[in-house]
Amino acid sequence: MEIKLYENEKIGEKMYHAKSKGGLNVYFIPKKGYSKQYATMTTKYGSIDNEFVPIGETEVLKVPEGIAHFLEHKLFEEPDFNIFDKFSELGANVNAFTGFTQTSYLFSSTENFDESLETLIKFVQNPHFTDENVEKEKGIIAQEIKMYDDDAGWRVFFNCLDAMYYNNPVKIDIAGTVDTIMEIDKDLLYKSYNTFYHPENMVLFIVGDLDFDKIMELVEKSERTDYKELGNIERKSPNEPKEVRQKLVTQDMVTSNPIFYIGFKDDKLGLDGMEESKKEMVSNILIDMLFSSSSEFYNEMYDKGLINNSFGGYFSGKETYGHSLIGGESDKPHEVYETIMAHLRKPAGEVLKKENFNRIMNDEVGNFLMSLDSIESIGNSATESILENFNMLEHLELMKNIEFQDIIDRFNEHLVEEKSVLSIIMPAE
Amino acid sequence: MIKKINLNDGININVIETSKFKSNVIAYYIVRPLNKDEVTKNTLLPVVLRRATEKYGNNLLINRRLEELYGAKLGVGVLIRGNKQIIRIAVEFVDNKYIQDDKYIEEVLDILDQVVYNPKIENKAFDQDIIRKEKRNLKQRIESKINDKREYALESGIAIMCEGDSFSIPALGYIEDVDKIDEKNLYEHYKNILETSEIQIFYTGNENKEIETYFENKNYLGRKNILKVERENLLEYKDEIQEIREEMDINQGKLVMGYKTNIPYEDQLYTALVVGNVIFGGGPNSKLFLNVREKESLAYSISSRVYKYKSLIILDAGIEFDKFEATKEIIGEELDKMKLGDFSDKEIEIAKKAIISSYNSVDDNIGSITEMEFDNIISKDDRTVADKIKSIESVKKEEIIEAMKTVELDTIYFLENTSFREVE
Repeated sequence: MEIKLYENEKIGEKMYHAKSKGGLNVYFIPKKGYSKQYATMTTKYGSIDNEFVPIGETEVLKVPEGIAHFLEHKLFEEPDFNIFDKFSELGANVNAFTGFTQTSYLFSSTENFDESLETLIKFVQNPHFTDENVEKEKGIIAQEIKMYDDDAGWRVFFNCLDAMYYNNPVKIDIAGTVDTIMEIDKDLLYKSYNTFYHPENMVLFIVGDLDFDKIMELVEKSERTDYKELGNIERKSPNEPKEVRQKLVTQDMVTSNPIFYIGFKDDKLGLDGMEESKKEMVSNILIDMLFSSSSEFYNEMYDKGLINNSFGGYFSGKETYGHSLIGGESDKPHEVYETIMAHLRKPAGEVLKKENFNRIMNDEVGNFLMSLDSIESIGNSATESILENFNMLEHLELMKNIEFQDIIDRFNEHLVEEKSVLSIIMPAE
Repeated sequence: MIKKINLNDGININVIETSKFKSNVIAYYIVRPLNKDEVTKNTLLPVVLRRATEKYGNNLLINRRLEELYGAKLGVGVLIRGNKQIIRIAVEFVDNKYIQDDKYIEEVLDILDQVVYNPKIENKAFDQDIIRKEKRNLKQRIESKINDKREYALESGIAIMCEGDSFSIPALGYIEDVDKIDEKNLYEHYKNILETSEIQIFYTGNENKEIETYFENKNYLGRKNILKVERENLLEYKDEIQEIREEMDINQGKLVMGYKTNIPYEDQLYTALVVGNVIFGGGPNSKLFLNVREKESLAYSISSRVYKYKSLIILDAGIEFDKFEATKEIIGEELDKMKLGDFSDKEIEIAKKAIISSYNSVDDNIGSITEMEFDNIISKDDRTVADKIKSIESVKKEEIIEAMKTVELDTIYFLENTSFREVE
């Protein structure tokens, strides 16, 4: 077994990597003196992967919306015991989440780390789906979907994506709908599972005051080794026009004030590794420069009473999709939209200043360093970076490659009116 | 280890040294009584202070300054602890070893001092324009509580249950009282607060004598008539259970059930109540989660929590509208099981482990360390984490039964939509 060690002395952190006998990529960042340990096992498979060629087959299969999330729920099922019980007995907290491009299973512990890690690997690698337990789960997930249906913040977000995209599955609610989950059955779950929960498509990330040799020993003791070669998973990439689908979307809900998101659809897609990470960083710095509470523009809008401190924005993107979202609460969402567009029509040199760039870069350095105090934050961001072929510990080094001109270029290509949509939740009468 | 310096005029400095983190925290906790009179002012005050200071005349300048200070985070807000409302103003910043700037600590201390002690003042009043805008924003924040249905239901349930008691007061205050505030009376209130409140100052982080000395030698002007907020009362049991239903255009019902107990947190038996609640509804392993969600598929979320300072247990669940009676019934059965001792040693063991694990995790987060020590001060609890763990470990089954026997259902609140029809 070959162990790779990456060390960044400037920030005082290091990361180990090795591949287990069973083919699992294992990463570890030691945190001396921490009482807690954190482990997360992630498959590069999320809600957007709903058209693919199942392992061992040749035809593309389209699966019901929400199946990745359904699968996440069902993996907790074991024939003879309950996974929550098991972790509770060990004094550890287990959880899971499904995103657009990944599904993660995780636990944090302050004792019994070894046994908790074994349990994690075993339950993720050993599915137990039956007709009966699949049916039972539909009721629980339907309740979860209804809970999100009442969440104005969630609705305004997905309405915005739905307006931006024609076909890209990122527009689909992660949990699916009450109707689509009814189409899910045991066989579809196994097909999805066998394709995406292959060790070659997974990452195990561990953070804590632990020893890497011991971790690898545990992994190899617990993992399955009977996997056939996976090869490349064929995922159908969406045929997505560059244009936005719909400029405006509104929905009435029980809320106090209108809630809005302005979305900008990105068409600079297909990047990977450093390039993708750099694009994300540049986009977020750009948004901070334009819209954060240290910008003149934010303060002007705030002073006019157009926005309050719920206002903010960020860029989110992966290889196959990308968008910037600017949102908050406002009595006059249309006026906010028009004001922002008028601002963005100005020449870059007028709205973006070098001194603001330098200051925001300073801010970023501090934010990154402070994020390294949380083992959960480290585990989650480092996993996300690895799935994009980037090493998170090189964050500051990558930042050094960013120049003011990159921000200006991104401003000109990305934040333009034609690529924008407005999503509003209006207070119901 | 915590080091406490008592300045004898209601100001205490608490220094917690730890070399584990890349960041440090300095926090002011200003303790006020929770009452209708000042709740709204106390909520508005810190956001006004955060907007402009003598040296940094507007929000833009404050925020730019913080960015220059390597993303130092200056957070303000209020907390409720029983009958106390606490104004918290804190700054979190990167340790100087990553920055190597001799002036850095001084500059961080300066901006915090600006916000707490040197607001933008004209003619013995706050800036009129800032007050106008922040009043408007506060009103919006109060109104927007309705956006989060679960929180809204919880707060409504608690308000109904604690009617007439200060614990029914919402943390953000009252809309109608916002209008009564102006730049003059809020400034008066601010002066009064700085003079008369108990103030707990925390430094949590890497060893730094400069910060300690700074607070020890700081001139806290005009301290007098320091206010002591007495311990809160527990609520009396009522003869009848009250059930309130509220109608709203929503997709999922929100059920809140409020229970009273008569065990104060100082009591030995309180620890048993905490363990009992975890078995009852405190986590993914609880009776409620396993029976209401996993076995009957009645709810996606269901959990119960002990409200330490008032010795209440509040439960909340998201359920289908027509499952109200069924869910209520199962919850009632599960509580009866607790009172009858129908739970296993294994369930006790699991509950204890969960609590102990959360105690053990506290020292991995600089914010939690600070908050726990503050809570210790508020509740006059001088036990170490190890002591607390020991007392959890020593809880016996009989004690849990005894504690759970005092748990009485008081209020049921249901947020529902009776005209809701499933879309076919």
